[in-house]
Amino acid sequence: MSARKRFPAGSFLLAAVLVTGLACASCASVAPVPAETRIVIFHSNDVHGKIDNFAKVAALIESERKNCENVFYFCAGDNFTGNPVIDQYEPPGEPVLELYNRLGLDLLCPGNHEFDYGLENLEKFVARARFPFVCANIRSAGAAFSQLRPSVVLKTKSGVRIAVFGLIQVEAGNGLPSTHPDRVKGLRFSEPLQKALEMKALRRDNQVLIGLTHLGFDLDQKLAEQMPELDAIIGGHSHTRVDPAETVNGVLVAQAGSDNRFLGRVELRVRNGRVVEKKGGLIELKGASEEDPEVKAMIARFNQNPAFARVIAEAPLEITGKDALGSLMTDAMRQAFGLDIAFQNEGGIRLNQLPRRITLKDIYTLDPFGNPVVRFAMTPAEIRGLVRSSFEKGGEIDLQVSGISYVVRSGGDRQIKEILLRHPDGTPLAEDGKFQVGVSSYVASSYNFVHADPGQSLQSTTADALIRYLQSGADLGMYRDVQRAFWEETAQDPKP
Amino acid sequence: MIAQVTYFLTLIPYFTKINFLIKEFKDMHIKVNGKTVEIFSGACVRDVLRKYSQITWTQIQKGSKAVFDGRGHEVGLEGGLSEGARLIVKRVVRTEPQP
Repeated sequence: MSARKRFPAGSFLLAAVLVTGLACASCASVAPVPAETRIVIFHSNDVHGKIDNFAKVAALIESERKNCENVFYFCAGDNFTGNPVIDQYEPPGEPVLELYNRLGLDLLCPGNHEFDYGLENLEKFVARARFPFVCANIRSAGAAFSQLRPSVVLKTKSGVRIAVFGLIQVEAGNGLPSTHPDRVKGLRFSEPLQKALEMKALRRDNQVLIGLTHLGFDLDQKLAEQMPELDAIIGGHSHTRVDPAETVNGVLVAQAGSDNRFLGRVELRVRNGRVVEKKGGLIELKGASEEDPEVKAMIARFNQNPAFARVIAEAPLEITGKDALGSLMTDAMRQAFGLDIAFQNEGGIRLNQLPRRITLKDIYTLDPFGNPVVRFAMTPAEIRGLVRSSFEKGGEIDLQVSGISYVVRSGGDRQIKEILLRHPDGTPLAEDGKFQVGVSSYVASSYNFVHADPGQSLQSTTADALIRYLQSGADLGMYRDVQRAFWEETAQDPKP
Repeated sequence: MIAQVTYFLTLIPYFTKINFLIKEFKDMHIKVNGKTVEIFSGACVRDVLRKYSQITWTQIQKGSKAVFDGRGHEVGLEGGLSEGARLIVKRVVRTEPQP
């Protein structure tokens, strides 16, 4: 008899049944990987507090979720600053947070304006957010903004891994995002394109790699040039309406304009572990008809911000006239930013009187432009040049001032003969001195004056400065009979 | 020791030409229709256009002209800029002013 055991035919049958059974059990525990996964990513950027279209955004996302099981919603930064209703909410920015939580936002990369309410407020905002914040080139020097992550991996229902990293812009001059430096104390920022190179490692374990950036479209293109490992870049900051999304070096680069006028939509198809098809475009929200009624009700509630009617300061008398209002506004700028001198153009003073009980609504009526303060280091000669430029615009006093007083002496033909600059005690400014001068971005860009210092936007508006000044309990009685800018016209020179 | 060296290294730019170079970068140079506009750091599209031409700025506000980047994409007036950016102002037909 052979040593080999002989198995009866029934044993083979039994084994076959067992193997098949095991295989089926395996099928039941692990879902079969579909041949293709379709991913839809909606994206917003630079909303700047314009919340009205979020009811349409909600309806569009919900509608897509009915047709696709892998729908995500990203935000590429700058949700604050640009709508006083949101900026002055208590706590600031709360409506945006509640709306994003309701809409099921998946990720947010902070932009420079996310810091506009200060780091403490932002941390509270992040703590209550039901979505993570990603940014690779922000590093906390201590405990500040500890919730921030460089990257996040999202998964589709079929198991496709989507790695997303964030990047924020920094200015060439100070290496900080475009916000007031005081608001980002405790954070360190690195050069974004350099930092992005470290993110290449994410490619290894993930089927999709996306950069969610707040760099501006120019830098997004450079990022695409240097990093073809990326599948897509979803960006913000430059308010660029990219429709359809561009392909740069094989990378899809998308951005959805600004002010919530558009909703971006990127669609990716993943097959055999890699993206095989990608496209992107914008949905103009003006043309969208469906609205989520619940979100619409939320927006209506937010727009009734009671803070606008709140009295923020009481003056002993009404503050009347351009001299008084201009002096008040420039004092506020000077105090808010520690400036030596501040100027305010009269065209930017849109009320002739502030009531005794001053509300936020009064401030935004007085100064509705949202112009940030720009700081220059200036010599007295340069300051005279600014005053001269302003006077020559209309042949009369145009700039109200704080920190100094000035006198324009002209002939009867309004040709300037002399401009005197004086300290509040009446002494002239030292000609070899340099002074930190603040003006609105309107004056900085529209007035023709020579300045060796190119200037720096302080990324905080003149209205914000005034609100802070009024809330600090400033003595408003001093604006009763104030005048700091004078014009002395001498008689016409006798003709020879 | 390491801390001292690090501190010393951070001071170098302030006593050398490197600081000069950093300061030189503080202003931004933006090209509008081929003309270079030198503007303060942190300026947005709106600031550059006001400095470029008051007439053009008025036309943009009225909606008869719009602003595009170097690749032909329309940009918003509050849009952030980086050094060397290019803007093109073109006549457009539209019913509402640019945001």
